[in-house]
Amino acid sequence: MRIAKTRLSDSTFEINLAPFLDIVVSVVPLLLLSVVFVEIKMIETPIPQVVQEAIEKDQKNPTPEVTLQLKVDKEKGFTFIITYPDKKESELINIPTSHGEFDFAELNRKSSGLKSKHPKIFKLGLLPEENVPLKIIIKVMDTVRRQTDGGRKIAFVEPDSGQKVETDLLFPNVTFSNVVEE
Amino acid sequence: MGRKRSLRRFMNTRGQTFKIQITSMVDMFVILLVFLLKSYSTSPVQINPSSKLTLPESNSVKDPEDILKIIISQNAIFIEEQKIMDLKSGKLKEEDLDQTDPQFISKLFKALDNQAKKTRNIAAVNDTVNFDGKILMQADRDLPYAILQKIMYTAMLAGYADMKLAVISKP
Repeated sequence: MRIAKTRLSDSTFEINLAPFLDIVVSVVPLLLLSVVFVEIKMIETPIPQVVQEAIEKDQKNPTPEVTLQLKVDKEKGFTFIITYPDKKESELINIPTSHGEFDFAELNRKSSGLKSKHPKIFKLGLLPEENVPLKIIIKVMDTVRRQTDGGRKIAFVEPDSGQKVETDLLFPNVTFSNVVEE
Repeated sequence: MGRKRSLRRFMNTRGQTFKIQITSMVDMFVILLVFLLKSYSTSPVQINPSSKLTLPESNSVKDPEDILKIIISQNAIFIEEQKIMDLKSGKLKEEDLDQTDPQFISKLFKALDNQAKKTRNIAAVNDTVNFDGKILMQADRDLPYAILQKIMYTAMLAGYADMKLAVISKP
């Protein structure tokens, strides 16, 4: 009988939401102050030091690597400069502008092709002309960083461990090669 | 008279106290709280919105580090919050460039060199601080490479060779 009575008295009740509301009202302005609607990220672009470059040039590399550079010109478009240590002349691959606009899709395709040829190279030197705006430079960096068309990944064998590595990264290490003009 | 009497009777029957129904308001606040917590950020990089400084968009996913910041808008160059020099619609004034080396910006070099010296002095007595030559560049997206090249060259000479570019994450 006692149980029945207790149930009867507790059947309806109301939670006092006022203190909870107080807390929420004081937390909301605090969060509003620290809210961000644009997320900021960063891109690493180490500048080759003059001294370091000189040392690198002086040092004779027993297994010389191919050097890749990309020239960005508003009129001529993109030009890949591939320098082989055993050849005097560099190989050039040009991607002309179409209707005055840069052809980023073709740049990505060509970068992908170059990566397949030289899978162990991750570094690309950027040579933008003086009138190229920063937004184009950033777009170029994004385009050469990874494959955008979702094509097959580039596979190569890691020489130290002998493991097969697959990656969609093309040239993530982009540096500005013409900061110090020779 | 009759109306007054009926109002008084109504007040007496309803009572003097009443409760606001706050359940729906709490619901709304909880939704708002979840949204705000989702977009809460403790990023070390804060930008002040300005028509002269619009960062470029990128799909980079690397979070910014808490390092020395150089801000280049269309009309000025700042280091952290301190204004170093004025620009004329994204171009350097002739008098700011060095006569012998047109790539070198002497005012900027002095400011960066002071910062580098300060950090090196702190690093000498504090093991947790070390000078690694890292600098985060927040530059307007329409600035031409010519000015950025000069800034990077000057920064490199001041010891800041590891340049990082601040970008807005693409949605």
